[in-house]
Amino acid sequence: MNASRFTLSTAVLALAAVSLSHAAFPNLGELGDKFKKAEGTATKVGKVVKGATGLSLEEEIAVGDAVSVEIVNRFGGIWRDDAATQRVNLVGRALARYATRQDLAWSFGLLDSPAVNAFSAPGGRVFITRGLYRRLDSDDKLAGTLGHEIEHIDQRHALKIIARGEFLSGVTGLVSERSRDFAQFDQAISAITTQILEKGFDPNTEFAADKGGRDLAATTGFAPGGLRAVLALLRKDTGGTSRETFSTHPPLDERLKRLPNDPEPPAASTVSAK
Amino acid sequence: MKTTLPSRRAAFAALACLASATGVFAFQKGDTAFAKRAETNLLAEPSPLAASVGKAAFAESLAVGEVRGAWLQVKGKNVNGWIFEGNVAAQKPTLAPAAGLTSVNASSTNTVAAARPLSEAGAAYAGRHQGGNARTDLDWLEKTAAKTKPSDVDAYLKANKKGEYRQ
Repeated sequence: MNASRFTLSTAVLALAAVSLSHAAFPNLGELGDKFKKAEGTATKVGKVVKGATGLSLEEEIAVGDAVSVEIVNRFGGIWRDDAATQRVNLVGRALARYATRQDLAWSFGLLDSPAVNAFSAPGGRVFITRGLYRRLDSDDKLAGTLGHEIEHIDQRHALKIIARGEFLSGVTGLVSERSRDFAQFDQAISAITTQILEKGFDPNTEFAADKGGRDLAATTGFAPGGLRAVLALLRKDTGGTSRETFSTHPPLDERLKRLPNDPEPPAASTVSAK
Repeated sequence: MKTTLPSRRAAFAALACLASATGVFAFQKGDTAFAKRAETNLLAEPSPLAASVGKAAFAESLAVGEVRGAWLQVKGKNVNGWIFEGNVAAQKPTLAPAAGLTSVNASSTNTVAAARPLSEAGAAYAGRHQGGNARTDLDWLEKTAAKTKPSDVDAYLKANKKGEYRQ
């Protein structure tokens, strides 16, 4: 635990104690009000500087950029189709408008790979492979797929790997230029990319992203059954057994079982103009 | 008969989608919601075109007094008004939107559109890991993504009756 985190934790504990004593001794109102004011200020300062995982936005973006480099390197580079890229950004940014995290500059890209998969990098960058994109014939299905990936970022799933590991100081040190220890930073990126690109998140994390993505799509006004329709289509195509299809995700049957039984959206119910 | 069946099916599917979508509304009267943008207008009526009656600050807690479809009537620190459910979070957000990332428009704000170059640490990582082509690709992606402006997103939502424009 570094000094600033220790100070913040101590302040929070102290303020929590003050809050409790304020409730127990109402006559200490004036003093309590002063502390309450200080508590609000401390909370604001602490939370603006660091997110829930102990990383600042700047640090998250640095990690996300490095993870993006790995994703693009391993999946054939970016598929430079202008119209398709603008379509995924139109639908993706419509969803991102209602995402929890409004501190991010979201962007959505296509990978030049026939594999059927999608990935997200911390900091707000989402990728879909060409193989998956070509199966998404309506904006409802595209929104369901992008919503799932947005939720991974919104819920900071990848960053939690850093937060619970020994890599935190490596990331914060390098980004703040207190250290030039590239090895620690690179180890953190390796841990994340191994999880995202090889092992995949644990099933419960994926199910949470499915649920959140479905809800985000519905809140934005897309058919809630978009993601379900994509998963059902892929299961039909592959029998749910292909190692190439969502290979880093839990089995399609398991994911379908956990999603609400939403009706399939009408074919091409909404297709963006671009 | 042949011509009406598909439209009936489409209408049924649309109704089914709407019925299902209503299950998404998580907020109920008595809940607390949190504003998630730098500033969000609270509106006089549950409509994106209604007049603003005040603003909610980032992470401000809002007491939900009424739910009407996708709109919440909320009581903030200084003002009561209506807000689209997509503009609030169930949990208090922790990182404030950076200055300039969002701007106030009706009850909502817009996601940033400007192209962002790779961060210094990201670019250095590309240099250490044979990521020169990936860096060029990501620069292209960011520039192409930036062509989709917030006004395009707003027009898309309006044209397709989505987000706060849905009926």
